[in-house]
Amino acid sequence: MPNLTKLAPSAELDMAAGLKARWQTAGGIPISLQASPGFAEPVTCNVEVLRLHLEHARLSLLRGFDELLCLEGLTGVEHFPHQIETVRKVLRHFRGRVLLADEVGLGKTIEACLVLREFLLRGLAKRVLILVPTALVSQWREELVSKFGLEFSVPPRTRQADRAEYWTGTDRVLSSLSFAKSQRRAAAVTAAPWDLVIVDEAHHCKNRTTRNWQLINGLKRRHLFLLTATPVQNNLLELYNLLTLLEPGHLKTETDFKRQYVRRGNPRDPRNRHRLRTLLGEVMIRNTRSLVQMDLPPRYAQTLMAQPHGDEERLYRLLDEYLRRRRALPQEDAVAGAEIDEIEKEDGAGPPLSGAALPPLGRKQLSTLLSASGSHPRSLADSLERVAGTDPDAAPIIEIARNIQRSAKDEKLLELLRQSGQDKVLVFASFRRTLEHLQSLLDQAGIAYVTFSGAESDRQKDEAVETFRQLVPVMLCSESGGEGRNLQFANTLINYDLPWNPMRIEQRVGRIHRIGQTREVFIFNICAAGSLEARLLDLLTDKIRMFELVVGEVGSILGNLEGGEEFETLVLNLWMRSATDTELDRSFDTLGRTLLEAQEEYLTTKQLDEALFGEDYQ
Amino acid sequence: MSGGIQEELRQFATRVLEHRGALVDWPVGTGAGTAVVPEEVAAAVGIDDDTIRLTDQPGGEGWCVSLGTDFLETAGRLLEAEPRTGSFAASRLYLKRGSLEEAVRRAFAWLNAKVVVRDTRATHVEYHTWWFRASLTSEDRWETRLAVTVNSATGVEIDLPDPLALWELEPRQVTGRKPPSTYPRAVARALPRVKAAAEDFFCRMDGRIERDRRRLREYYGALLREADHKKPRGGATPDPEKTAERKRAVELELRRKLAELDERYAIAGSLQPLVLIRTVLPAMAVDLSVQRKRASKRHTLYWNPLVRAIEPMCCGRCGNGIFSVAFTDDDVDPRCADCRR
Repeated sequence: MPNLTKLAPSAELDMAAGLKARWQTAGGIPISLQASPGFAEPVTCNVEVLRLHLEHARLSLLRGFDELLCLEGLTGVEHFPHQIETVRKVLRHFRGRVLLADEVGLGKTIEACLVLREFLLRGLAKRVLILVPTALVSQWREELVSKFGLEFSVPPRTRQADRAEYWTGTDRVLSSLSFAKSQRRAAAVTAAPWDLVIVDEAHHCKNRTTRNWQLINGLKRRHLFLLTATPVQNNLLELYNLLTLLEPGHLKTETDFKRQYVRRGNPRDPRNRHRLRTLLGEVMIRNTRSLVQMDLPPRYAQTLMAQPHGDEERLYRLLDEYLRRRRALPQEDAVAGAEIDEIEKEDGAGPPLSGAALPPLGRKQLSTLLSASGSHPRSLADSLERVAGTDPDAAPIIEIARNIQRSAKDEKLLELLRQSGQDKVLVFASFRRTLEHLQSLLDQAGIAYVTFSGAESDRQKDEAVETFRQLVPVMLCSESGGEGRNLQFANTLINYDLPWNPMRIEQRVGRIHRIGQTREVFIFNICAAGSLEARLLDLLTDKIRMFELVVGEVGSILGNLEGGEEFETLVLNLWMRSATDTELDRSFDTLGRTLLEAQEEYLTTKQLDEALFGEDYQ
Repeated sequence: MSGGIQEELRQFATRVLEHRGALVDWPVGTGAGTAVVPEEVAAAVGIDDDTIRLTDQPGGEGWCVSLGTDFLETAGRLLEAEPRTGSFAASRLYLKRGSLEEAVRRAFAWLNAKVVVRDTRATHVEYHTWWFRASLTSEDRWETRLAVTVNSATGVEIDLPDPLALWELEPRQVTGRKPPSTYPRAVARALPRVKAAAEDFFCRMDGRIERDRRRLREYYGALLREADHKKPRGGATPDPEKTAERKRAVELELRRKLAELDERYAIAGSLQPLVLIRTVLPAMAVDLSVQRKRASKRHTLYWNPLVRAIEPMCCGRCGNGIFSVAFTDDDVDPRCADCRR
């Protein structure tokens, strides 16, 4: 039998205070209810108008009940039953404070974003802060927009972000944890009230003496999602620290916790497993691959090195010399380590440069040109023309690039496609100009294809996929190509060019290496010998064997990288700091070792967590 | 989403568009339709064409009619400029004839005054039906929709059937002076109903906050006990100052967490008027002469043809409808038993 609400004398309507009532529940929770001003004019005699108003209100109320609203209106999000189940659990049982500890690749990000969307649609959250490792900021921002239609502000690397007004005045912020925790900003971030805070790769907050932990603990927030596939990295106290962020006292004090659950001499081995499992089950959800039956067939990758000759070889040499002449030194560049906003501002949209005293190229311009050189000479010519304008030094390079009809990579691609017969093959290229070139290349070669570039309407996209399934062997895709569509009937993918961000490469592979794929997947990477892409590929294939990893593991490895830079920024910095190819090779070796260490750290942790949690928390 | 809700949404979308002058072709049971719409409607929907595709499939082209998209927000914008006050009459209702003296005697108990029925006459009374949306937000959210009908002449709340469902309803052009504002009275009447309806919600929040408080107190209490017994490394004697400082920090942290908890659970509510329906009904007015000590005053009761009964009087202090009526000494104003005390 529920207690009756205690009606304090102040519960009566206070007309003087503008139709406001205050009272409190039996348990003492203060309640304030404000009535909006009434209305009278204009007046209608049309019953239908009034009925429509009432029906609108009634339908709006339906949003508050059992239906999950977050699933409606999503584009390009393939969600799985375990994710939906997780969303329901977080909403119903976890009251918006949860440690999402799914195994890698099961879509913790999707789960968190679904709950986030549900909270926003139901009006349960308005101010949201998402904290992620620097390497994942752009990935998060892109997914939030493209899949969930949610715009988040990434704090600018200017003084504006040091001011409290930015954090209190911006309702949706996506920031790297390292940026938010800095001494200049932490106070402003913690002073602002948040309805929901999401922390990705939350194992970075495992140690309560660190600024990471203290920042999260200091945040004024209603709801908190901690996302990590590896909540325990070294010892059980890390788990204790994470859960204390969520629900202080849930595992009692540290001393109690150690006494009850940690075996002496082995801080990784829990005692009283059953009791601990029960307690963890109240704040943690962990889906595993075996339980949700998401084990995928293996994937194999092969690098095809194309050797440029003649004009093409000369083109790359001249370009390299040109870019090295016009690069800025990294320390002079104000945006080293910048997050997305700032990089975008630097896009070569300004007037073209000309004359003898040319300023150094901006980072974005350099990275565009370097990426274009890894794609096709036509794309390079376009980009260089846009960036260099009338610079006389650039003109011969542009001319050579325009005159190259068929590149070494083109030959490799045609060879591959001829070998593949009627197998369905996806060919990815980053640049629109490259896609256009590939279209004419395949036309000339008599190979049937469809194009899926993201510029088509929904209907055209559906038609393209259907044609690819039934009629033609090749689909030419841009970066966004095929997103959200089922393309598992294909099992071969060719990267004609390569994004510098491994997460983007992973996204490409994920188009066909996903649930529903029953055959082995083959990935071919085409790159020009001696190029930056070749070095990158060497790093990713030989060092961390990226293409053999399980979907999602790359993100975990990159998340373990120290420092506040995105992977593309790292790659560009290496190029900018190296005056010669030998120096560049050496720098890539160092980066390779760092990646390897990050991978080893991840693998050790993964083993520990598998042993510790098993399949107990689904 | 269930088919039932989807069908309701389809009907609603069709009605809104048709009301705004569109031609809609969206047959029952189909997932998509089309509408030829005026320019301003196309602009509100965000489609740059006078023919818009209607679909219940999220992610598809056109206007997606679904609870999970911004359909309701857009529909709200389309309705925004539409009047929210309606004026009607139901003049053909049957009116009881003859004296109502006996009915008054049976319905009312006059606690402290002499009351005489002076006259019974046919008249018209305007009733105001205020529809509200009430919402409460705390750790969770609670919402409801409710209607309060008030007799604009007496201010008493009447449990009237939905006027929009009356077959006798006819349009009534408003002329002359404005009716008395019944809005504050309607809000006052809505308040206890919101409280009663949200009782389970309040209990749930009470249970949750209590559990959270207990957990925090236990945790920080244990930290305080630990601080007392913490031994420095190397077996040195604990520094009482450091211990006191540690305990102060723990107490401060507990206070901060408890304050955060209170802030998080504090319930903020709103009562938003949705629609006002002004309905003029024929009624029988019963004029009373009330004598209280030396003072006397005329009051009027109404026989309502929809509820087919005499309406209660309205307590001049709390606004409750009353049949056991006491009167004040000077003003001869009606009071309920509670307010009289």
